[in-house]
Amino acid sequence: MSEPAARLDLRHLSKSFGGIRALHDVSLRVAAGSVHALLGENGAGKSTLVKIATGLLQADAGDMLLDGAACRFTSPMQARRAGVVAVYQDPKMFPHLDVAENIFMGQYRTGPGGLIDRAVMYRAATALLRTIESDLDPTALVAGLSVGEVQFVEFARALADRADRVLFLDEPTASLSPAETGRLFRVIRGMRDAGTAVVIISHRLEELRDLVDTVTVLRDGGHVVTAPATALSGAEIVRAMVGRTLSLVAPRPAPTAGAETRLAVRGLTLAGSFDDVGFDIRAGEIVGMFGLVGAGRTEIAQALFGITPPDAGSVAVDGRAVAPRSPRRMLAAGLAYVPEDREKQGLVPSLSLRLNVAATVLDRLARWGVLRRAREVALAVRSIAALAIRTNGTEAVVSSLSGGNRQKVVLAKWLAIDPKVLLLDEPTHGIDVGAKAQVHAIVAGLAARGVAVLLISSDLPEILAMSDRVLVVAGGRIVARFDADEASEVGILTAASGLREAA
Amino acid sequence: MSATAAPRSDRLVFAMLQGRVFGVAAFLVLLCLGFGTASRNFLTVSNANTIALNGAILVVVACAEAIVVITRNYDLSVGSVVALSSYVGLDVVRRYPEAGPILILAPVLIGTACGAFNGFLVAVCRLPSVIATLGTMSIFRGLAFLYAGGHQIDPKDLPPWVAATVGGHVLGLSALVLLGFAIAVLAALGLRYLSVGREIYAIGSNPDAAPFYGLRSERISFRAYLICGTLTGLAGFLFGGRVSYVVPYLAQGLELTALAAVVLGGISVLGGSGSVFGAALGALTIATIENGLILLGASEFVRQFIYGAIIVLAVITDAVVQQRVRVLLKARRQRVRAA
Repeated sequence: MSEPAARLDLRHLSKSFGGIRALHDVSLRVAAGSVHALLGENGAGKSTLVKIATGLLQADAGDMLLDGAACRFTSPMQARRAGVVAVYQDPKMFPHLDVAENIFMGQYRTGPGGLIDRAVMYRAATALLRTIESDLDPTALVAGLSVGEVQFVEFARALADRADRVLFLDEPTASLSPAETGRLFRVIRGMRDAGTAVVIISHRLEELRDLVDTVTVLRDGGHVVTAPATALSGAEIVRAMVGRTLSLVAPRPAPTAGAETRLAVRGLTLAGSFDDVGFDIRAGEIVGMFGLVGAGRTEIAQALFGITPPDAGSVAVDGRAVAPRSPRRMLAAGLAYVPEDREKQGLVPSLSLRLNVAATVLDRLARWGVLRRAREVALAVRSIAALAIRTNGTEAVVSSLSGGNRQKVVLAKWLAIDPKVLLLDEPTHGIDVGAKAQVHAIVAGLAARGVAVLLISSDLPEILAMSDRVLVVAGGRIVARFDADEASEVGILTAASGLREAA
Repeated sequence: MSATAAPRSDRLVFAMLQGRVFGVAAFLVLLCLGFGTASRNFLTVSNANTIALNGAILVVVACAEAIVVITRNYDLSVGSVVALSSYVGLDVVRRYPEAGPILILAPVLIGTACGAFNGFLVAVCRLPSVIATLGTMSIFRGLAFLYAGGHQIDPKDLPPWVAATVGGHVLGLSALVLLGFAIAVLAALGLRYLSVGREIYAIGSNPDAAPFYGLRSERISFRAYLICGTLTGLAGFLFGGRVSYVVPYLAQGLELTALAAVVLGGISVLGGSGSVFGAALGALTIATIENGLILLGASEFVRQFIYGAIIVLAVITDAVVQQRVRVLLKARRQRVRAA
């Protein structure tokens, strides 16, 4: 390709986080007036790429050219002034302010005396919203808008700043209704025709077919293929996205057939999140749950654990029905939940390993209501040995440990209660390869001892390597079920992204 | 996603958020009727005048406090700032009688300096605002005592323009009351029509979003403290001009009354929402309660109890309303999504 300089030209970008390679030598050229799809599994490096291009992150290596001129952004605002904007799935808005105020925040046009002319502001907002076919009331509070509506406010904002040289859209259709999606696509076409370079990050390639000119697929932080959209079939794209190899997974023996059912879930429903979810997990079984971001996996796990009680449905542990109304009750029933956000929900990072591990079993460690330090220390020592936690001792502050070791502390905390059912939400997200294998071994060991494990993960190779059965969630429903021997990356990803017959 | 044909719950949400000020006003009217029935002296022109005069200064301090609370911070030092700016400021006025009314700037600028120090601690040093201003509450009060050294200022020693300003009348209305009203109006207009006003709401509403809009939160919260200090300094001047002796232990506990007024006026302690008019009405309500209780012969302790109860009740009301609003908004979002 040696045509005139592309609108956006990213050259050989690399970025690592604490030894984990998020992006490695990725290049991307986007022409003005074109729509480019950036595809890849979770963790393929798409978001990292966008964050670098919009100044939220700094690349370790590589260059960025905008209309042929080298540039490097150190803040989102700087990128925006240069005309490069990203609209995220969870837009950053000021909920207490109205639509027009959000559109113009940071660059109010002021009249004499530095006063904001509100009439002008509302007229300008209405005009902007009309160009993107939105009939939103500019005086409506943003707090009351749906995610889809908020995205349209973000578009209006991008237009208001004339930040329309490069527009990144992160999973723009994930939370839109079909009507909104149609409108969004018309807006994108309009912007493309006006000369904007649009980059859409998505999993849902099928619905983007008619819109996209060029497709780039990333995998494991590396570039796989860039081709005209018409040159690749859906199946070819899926094959390019998958095919990662996961080393270091301990092979597990198949669970004993006919083991009794540990966890039985029927008709679990939470309005707006998921609908009629039902499955069983037997003792010693690991059931993988795969789904794209926003499919409702975490919501299902949190409802099961009673954090956000479901509207309907039943849960039984070892045949005894238990209503998931509070985490306390689910704990008593023998469930444990390892959340995705371990820093905020799984740990008390400023306390020692000993106190974190003891947190779930304080009453058992106490005598006459007074905590016995010796028992706490003994528990911590046992946990460190059992899970091979690398630490300076029981009193090490958890925030000083590495990601993998922090995750082991979370596991240790739950193992202390001897759970019957373990719900794992992205247990190896963001931890290095070695620790990942150790976590896998721990989980496999637990299953061997009869614990029923629900493994929620966006990591396809992990799901395939660990699971005895796989559930695929999309749009809040279980859309496919596979046994281990019939599960394949292509089959699972096809089901999860709503592709019909790609494989 | 048609917001033009707003369904019922939309309007309800709007009414609940906008109606907070009317709610306080309605409460104030009920209160007046109650006190009026209980005491014959309550519903008189002269008593209304007393309430307005007593309330005017609290209105100024409540507006000042409100601006800081909207940014998700607190200022617990306002009572001490009133004492310091009042004593030191009026002492300067007393020493230079020939300088004239320009010296009203002395207490005002002392307030500004105190606000700048608070802003420095909270916005620049990033100390939690409750702790930082709890500290400066003692520091400013201590400075006032140190400066006074056991003395007090007799208003008779002050130049006549002080009494003329604080006790004067314009077009038959008390200058003090007009000033309180003007400040509430100016603060409300500034928050609505100046960029910094909208930014004050913005950083209180969602501090995490600020960098994406090129807003510098620390600068904005610093300015909020600066405005708060300046207005509080002005309140110090007014306060000193009205008391029989200016002493360093003036306005003890005013921070609590001001916070009560702010919360009562419907300003969310979680930041981002509420109007200074609400705070002003809250201040008037508290002045009314104080006046009514005194007329009814209630003791100081009973009044303390009632202020505390008001704060708690107002926060509970706030929580209930916010919860209700959240439910309505969620219902709306789901409807939009389903449409």
